[in-house]
Amino acid sequence: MGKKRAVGADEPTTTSPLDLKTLIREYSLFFDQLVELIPARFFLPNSSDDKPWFPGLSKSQKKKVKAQTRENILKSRRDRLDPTRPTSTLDLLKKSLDEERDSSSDEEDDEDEAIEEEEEEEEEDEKEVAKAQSVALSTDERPVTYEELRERLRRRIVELSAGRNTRPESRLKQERKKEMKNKKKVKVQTKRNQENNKEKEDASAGNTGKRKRDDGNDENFSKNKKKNNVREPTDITFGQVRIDGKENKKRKKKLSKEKELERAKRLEEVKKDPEKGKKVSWKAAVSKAAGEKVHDDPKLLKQSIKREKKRQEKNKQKWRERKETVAKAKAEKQSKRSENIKERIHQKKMRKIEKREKKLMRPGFEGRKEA
Amino acid sequence: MARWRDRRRQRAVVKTQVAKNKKQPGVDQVTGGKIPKSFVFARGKLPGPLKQLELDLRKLMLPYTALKLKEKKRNNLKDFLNVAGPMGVTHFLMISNPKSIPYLRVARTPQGPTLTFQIKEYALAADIAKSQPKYRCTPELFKNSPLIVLSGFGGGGQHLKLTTIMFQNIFPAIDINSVKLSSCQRIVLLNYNAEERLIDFRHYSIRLQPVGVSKRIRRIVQTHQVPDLRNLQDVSEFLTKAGYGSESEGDDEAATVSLPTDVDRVNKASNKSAVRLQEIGPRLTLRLVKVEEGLCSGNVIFDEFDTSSVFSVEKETDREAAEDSEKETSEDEPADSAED
Repeated sequence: MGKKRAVGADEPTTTSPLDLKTLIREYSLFFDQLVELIPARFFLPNSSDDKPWFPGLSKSQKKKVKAQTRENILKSRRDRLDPTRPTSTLDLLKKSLDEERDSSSDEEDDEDEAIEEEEEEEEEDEKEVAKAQSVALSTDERPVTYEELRERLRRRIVELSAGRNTRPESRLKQERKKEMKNKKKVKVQTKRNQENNKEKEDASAGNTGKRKRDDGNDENFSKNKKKNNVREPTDITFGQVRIDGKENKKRKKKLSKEKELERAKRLEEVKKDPEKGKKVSWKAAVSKAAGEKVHDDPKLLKQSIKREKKRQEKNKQKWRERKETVAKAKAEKQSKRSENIKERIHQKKMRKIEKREKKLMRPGFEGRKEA
Repeated sequence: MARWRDRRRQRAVVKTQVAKNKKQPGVDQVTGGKIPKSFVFARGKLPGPLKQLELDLRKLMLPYTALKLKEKKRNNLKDFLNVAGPMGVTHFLMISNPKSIPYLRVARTPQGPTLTFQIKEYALAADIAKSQPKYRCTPELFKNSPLIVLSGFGGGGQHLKLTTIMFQNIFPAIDINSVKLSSCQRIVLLNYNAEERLIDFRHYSIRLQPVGVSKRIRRIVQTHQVPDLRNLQDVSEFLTKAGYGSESEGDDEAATVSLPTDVDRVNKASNKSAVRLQEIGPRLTLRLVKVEEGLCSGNVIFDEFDTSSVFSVEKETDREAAEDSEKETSEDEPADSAED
């Protein structure tokens, strides 16, 4: 019984300082681990900024604050992905304590400082231990992983882009499809399809130079491959086709009608000349057939000049008349007005006289001066 | 009574509004260019078949032509010209029959050149319809203007170039990017025969048929008619019995096209379809005889039978006299050449 009591009595009373220290250390480690589990924003006191109060601000202030918010967001985003920054709650706690210490270093007493420093040291130890106990990989590789992360990102990008179909060949296929659509309009020859496609598009643009080259090729080809009955159609032109909605018609300079008249007269002279005249006539005929207006006929031009002159004269006349009528109406109104005003004044005077006379005109009045 | 009168007036008002909406557009919505319109009429008295040919040509030029153009005997070219201006008509196609030789004149209205073709042979649309077992010609074909393809016109000669440009501008332009494939239903082919100097004029309707689909299946999809399975044991027999594919599977690879867009229920995008042309409309064989600078007037800049000289002809005042005088000079030569 004595032994039992001795055993039982010894343990609670004899706590050696070493045991106490380890005990405290163990408890502290346990609490640190608990703290780690809590996310930082719930555990740490929200002391950094005062809560921003937006509604009461003026416009410029609001702008500033908004800019600040944007910057904060970017900064926090960058920091979140920055591998060298401390993320665990313990680290942040340590950081905040550091800041506090710096800010209030002058005000605090030495004792407090000492206590804080001790606490910090212990915290540091704990932190290191905790770190050692917790994930060991991250701490060792922190400075290295940044580059490695970059490498990994690059590799991933290359992988993804290789998977996508961004080759230029696929675009050619779409162009070919458009050409096929053109081809569909003809009962097509079998052999020279691809070559003819190019030539067709050239020819349909109405380009004579190209067509001539095309003819040269075709003639050679047909000479080489001439069969008796079956003759391959060599050059094909289509109807009017508008590609890409281009409207780049050359805007010819518009000459005044007199100049056109002179030009037309000169052309007439040229037409009499056999050689050049032919060329000129054909050119005019072709452009007329295509729908462009060719001002060729001096007689018609004269007529149109005359018509325009007449129109201008008529307009001039109308304007003159209008001015006259406006002026006349104005004058009439003014005269009527002044008439009315005069009349009114006159009437006023007459009324006054009338009133005055009324008093004097009663029968049997003796006081009247005039006879 | 008053109410009744008002109602009649209202109806009249509505009628005119409806008529206004039916006016044809002058400018193409898509391409922005002016839409060319045409008049097809006869000059002088025509025999029966030529009259029919005139009507066929009118049908061909639909929708941008006056289908029921009424011409009277006393109408001159001038009258047509006066009407053409306000209505925006750009081309005249005139058929005439002086000295029993049919001529077709294609002219550009305001001051344009006139091409005179001699019609060597022609076949009416009705004859072609009778000659074909399955003639398919619906009024819907004529709701859009035809495409035009010219072949063999490349080889030298200003007159050929002028002919191509003239025919290219008779029909409105199409915009490749925005044209609907289902609206290209007709096609006009012009082929120039260099030795005989004749132009063949043909008019077809375009039909697309999907390739590689058997006739029966195609019929079901197109017509939605329930097939007759009386004599078959099993549906699979129906599908596999066709055996030879479509009847003309031996089509050239080139006559099939892969479509960029859906055309209708059967012909879908990126599928192969065969292009089938069926002839409708008149068939003509023409020879270019004369090109004049003005509208049936002005200098003659090309003459088939007298290529050495370029002579000017007086303006046409009296229709018949002028026609006879013109045709005489060019008809003496065909008589000679015919003898050869």
